[in-house]
Amino acid sequence: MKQLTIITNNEMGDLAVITGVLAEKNINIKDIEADGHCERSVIVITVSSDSYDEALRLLQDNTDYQIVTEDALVIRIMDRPGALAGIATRLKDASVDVRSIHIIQRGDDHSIASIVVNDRELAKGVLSDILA
Amino acid sequence: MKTCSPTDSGLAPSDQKRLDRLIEKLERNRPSSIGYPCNQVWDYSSLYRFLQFSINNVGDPFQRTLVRLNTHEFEREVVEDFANLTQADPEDRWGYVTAGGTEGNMYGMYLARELYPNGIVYFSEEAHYSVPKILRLQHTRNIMIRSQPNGEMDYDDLRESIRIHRDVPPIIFANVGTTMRGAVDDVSKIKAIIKELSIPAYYIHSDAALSGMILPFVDDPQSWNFADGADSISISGHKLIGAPLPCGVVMARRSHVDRVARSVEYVGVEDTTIMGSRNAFTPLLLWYALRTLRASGLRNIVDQSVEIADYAIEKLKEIGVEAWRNPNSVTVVFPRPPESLMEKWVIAPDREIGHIITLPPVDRNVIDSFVTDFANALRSTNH
Repeated sequence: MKQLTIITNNEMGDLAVITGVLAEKNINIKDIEADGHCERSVIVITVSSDSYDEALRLLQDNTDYQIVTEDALVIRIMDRPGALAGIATRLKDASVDVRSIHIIQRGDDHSIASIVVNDRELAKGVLSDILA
Repeated sequence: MKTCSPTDSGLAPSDQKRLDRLIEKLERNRPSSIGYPCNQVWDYSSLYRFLQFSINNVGDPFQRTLVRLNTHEFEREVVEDFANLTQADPEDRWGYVTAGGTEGNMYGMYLARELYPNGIVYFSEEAHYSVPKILRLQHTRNIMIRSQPNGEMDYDDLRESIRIHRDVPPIIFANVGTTMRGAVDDVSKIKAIIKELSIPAYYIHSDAALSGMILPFVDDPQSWNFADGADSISISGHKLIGAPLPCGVVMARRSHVDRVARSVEYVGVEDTTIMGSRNAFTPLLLWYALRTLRASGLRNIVDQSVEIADYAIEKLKEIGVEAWRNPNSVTVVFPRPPESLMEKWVIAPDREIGHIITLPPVDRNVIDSFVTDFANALRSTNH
């Protein structure tokens, strides 16, 4: 099983679009979690490893959503200077090496960011309170 | 004897028609493509005779080469002119003509990574989409920095991010004219932060794709060039100067390039450029433009473009559209317009905003026509 994280503008019908695009090609969604927060929504879908690449391609080709593969961790943080630096500090203190930190979307008071690290499982534990 | 070269006589009528349709399409779309930063007014017909040669600028233009069908001599003069415009130290300058701004940015990041293999690249969320792509390609560690509402880097966020990694050389990717808002990351402010944090080793690359040909010709430029502290700069050639083919120039401090070249020699390659075969025609285009326009012509393009940008802002405000621009920018930013407007005008929207770039041939008539259509689109939407 593998996960894709989809960031949308929290509009009506987002889930229908995602499930529709994948259903058209008979891709079975094993699990789906949606977390709407103000103007952003984070939807995490789980599909079989066999259909992972196809699901990613279909969503990229047929929607305007931002899609993050499970190589990256998606977090939700306060939108203020130094917020990402604070995350980097927590990871550094836990001896997790950060490969990249990218802001995916900024809202009025929160941002969504993706992080790629050398030890994903350790980082998940360190950032468990802010994982999207 | 069988023909072995492409000629019109060998083309099927249906293929000929396809080419005719293509030229019609390009001619039709040219006037409405005002969202992309390309000066479309130029005449390089004097150079078309060089298209009969298989010329190739493979290798470092400043190194001796066995290839004789090249334009290295002209390329060196182009680099020299760009180095003067960017205030590079006469004793510490090097560069070459690239395939465009992205190759120049890739070269800057390559040089930085070779000098500081464990460095972290800091770039703002307004950076061109190719920047994260380059960093991924080069396996360079990187951290994205927030932007201010005007598109300029958030220096507080940069300071805090660097502070955490003070043991690692920061590599700053400065946007000198962001793609969407034309904002300039101030190199002096970046240097001040590095100094404040007592960081001894660092690297600053300026991505000056469009603004690199604006700032040398304005009275009060932001801090961006070699004199201000940049280690390398990438500028596009097909943007403000204008050209039929994408091209650009990358320049770097010679001392950096020499250090990297020494390590490259260990693997038996003396060519420090990124590509193998390189375009030999685009250096001629840039050389010709620089020689014919001269500084006065380039300054005229900048002055006129800024004036048209201000005119566009004034006219858009008259119909209730909150348009604005950054200092020394010809990028006019406004709230994302209705879709119906974008069917006629190519204005490159990005999420909540759209923009136009007032390079030639955009003039007052074009702006008047655009603003009329904008007003009509707003009326239709409100109804």
